[in-house]
Amino acid sequence: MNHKAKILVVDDEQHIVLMLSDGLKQRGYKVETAFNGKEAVSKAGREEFDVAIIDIKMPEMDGIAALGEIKKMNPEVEVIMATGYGTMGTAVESMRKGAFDYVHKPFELSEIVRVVERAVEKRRFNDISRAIFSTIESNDLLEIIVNSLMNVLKADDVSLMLFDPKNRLYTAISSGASDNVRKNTRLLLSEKTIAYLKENSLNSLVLMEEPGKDPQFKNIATAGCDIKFGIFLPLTEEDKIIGLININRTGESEYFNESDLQRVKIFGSLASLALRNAKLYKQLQETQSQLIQAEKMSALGQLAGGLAHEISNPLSGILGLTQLILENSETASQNYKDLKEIEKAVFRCKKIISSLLSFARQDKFSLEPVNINEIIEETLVLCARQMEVNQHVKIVKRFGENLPRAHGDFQQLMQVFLNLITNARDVMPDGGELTIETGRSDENGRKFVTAVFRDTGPGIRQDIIDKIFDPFFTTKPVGKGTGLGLSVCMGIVHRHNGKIEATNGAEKGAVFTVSLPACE
Amino acid sequence: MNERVLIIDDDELVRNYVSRALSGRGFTLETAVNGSSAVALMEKEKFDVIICDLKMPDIQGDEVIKRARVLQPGIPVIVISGSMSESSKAVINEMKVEGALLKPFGIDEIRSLVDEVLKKTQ
Repeated sequence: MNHKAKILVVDDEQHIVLMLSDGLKQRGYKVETAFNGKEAVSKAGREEFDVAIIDIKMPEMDGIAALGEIKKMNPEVEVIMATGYGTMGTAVESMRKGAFDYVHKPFELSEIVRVVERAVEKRRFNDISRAIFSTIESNDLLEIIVNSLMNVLKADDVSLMLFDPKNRLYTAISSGASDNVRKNTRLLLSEKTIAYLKENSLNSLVLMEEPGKDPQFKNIATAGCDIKFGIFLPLTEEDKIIGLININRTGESEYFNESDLQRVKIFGSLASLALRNAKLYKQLQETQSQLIQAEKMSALGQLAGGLAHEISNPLSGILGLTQLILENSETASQNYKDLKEIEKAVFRCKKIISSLLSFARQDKFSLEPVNINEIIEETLVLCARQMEVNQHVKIVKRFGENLPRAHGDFQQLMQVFLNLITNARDVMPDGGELTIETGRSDENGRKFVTAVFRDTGPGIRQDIIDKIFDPFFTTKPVGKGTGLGLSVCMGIVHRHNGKIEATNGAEKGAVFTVSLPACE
Repeated sequence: MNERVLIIDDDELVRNYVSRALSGRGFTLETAVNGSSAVALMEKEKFDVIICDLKMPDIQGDEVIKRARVLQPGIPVIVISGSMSESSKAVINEMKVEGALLKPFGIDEIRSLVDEVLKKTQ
């Protein structure tokens, strides 16, 4: 909420309306006036106010009734009731009906201004918490958090840092810090702060005054560091620090005051809660899509298995009978040629069926500690020579040394690698380079052995990158691919509790990464 | 020569082309449309080799093979199957059959397998 709040002043006594209206306008508020309950309700129906000050005792519609009507139309508006000494009972009633507070008549202007300020403050926090909890998408959420803080605290820059999967702090979003030097200074100061908090097992707010002049930051915050006053607000989840918000005023701005710090604290717990919601939501979505995928694969597997079995008898008949007629045909005749085509078509079907079956195979397979480099070497025996000589695809091996073994089925993993290698060959018909790199990775404490296949082909089109693992999805011409190669790969890798990912290389070509759980 | 071959498959198309692929090669061919008629035939007559589908509506292939082994000990068996699933593989391994073909298979494959199996058992 960037604008100064809009206030509706309602009283049947004209001098009070004027006093309030002038006084509030002088303090920068936008003010509208009404002289009775009915007028107030109709004004509140036409435009939205942040705060309303309503006299209780008015002719026609009284203040209590007006409060009820206005709250019905706009529950967010904060209403301050003005009561005479004879109407204490009604003051209590108005609080029950949702008034923010009440003031006794006659009142000083300064008195009502203080209440208005509090009401506006509450409005702001309501708006912020509504905004924060309105979205569950983490990117939108981060933006809302940072922008709200910029506005509410009149900060010059705000940055929100989170930890990446490798537990390194990074700037997730930043507003106001205009250049990379500034952003980096804030990140480094945040790192220091988190280190300090962790050392002392704290997760409280940390304040910094002109860190540019502080010798302990001299390597981080150079003389040019423009932070005058910085707040470092840790974001927590179950008492664990999951990130940090840095809020700064720079240059000639004023220092943050006590109420700013109060706001920041409230804000911190709201933001932490919202981030946790967003994270849980994301996890839920991921689990859900994994479940759907697993269901889909299992249903398709059963279907494929049944289909393959049912189709094998008629196909067998077509093949056998075609060959019987072929035996009695003149080899020079058109019939002979046609029958040969039919025979070839059956062999194509046979290939599809065997891919389908290997895709559908749901049975257990034997996991044992395997050496990923060995499996790739073994696979290359099948195809490397032919690729290098016939297709001019150069194979570059960058095998990691002393890799842990992976839990795997040697034969099935060979099939995965063979598929990836032949795919790479197919996207480089005029030759190119296939780099196979093996290594290890760590994710959320789980250890993986990885194999990365990088080709120098055209890469994967963005619009199909999500579909390439779908069964029967193929970009190859009819008859050249079954569209099952990558789905088979995915099926096998998933059964290994591993991951297979497709991306595009920084420069060109496609990159396929297979990660398999490492043996302890 | 004149070996007796029993072809057991519930699909007429398969019985038809397999028996035609083997005809004119000096065999006496018999066919059975399901497991029970195959067992009935084997109770009456002696065969030199049986070609048997695994998945059939009444008696399954593995049961037919078991009965064949009881009725005519040492009889060579060729399994023809629509899938090489784990269960099919298990049958082939446990029964120690003499040969197996995955459908779709061609006429030359069945001819040479029959010849090979008969040669071994003679």
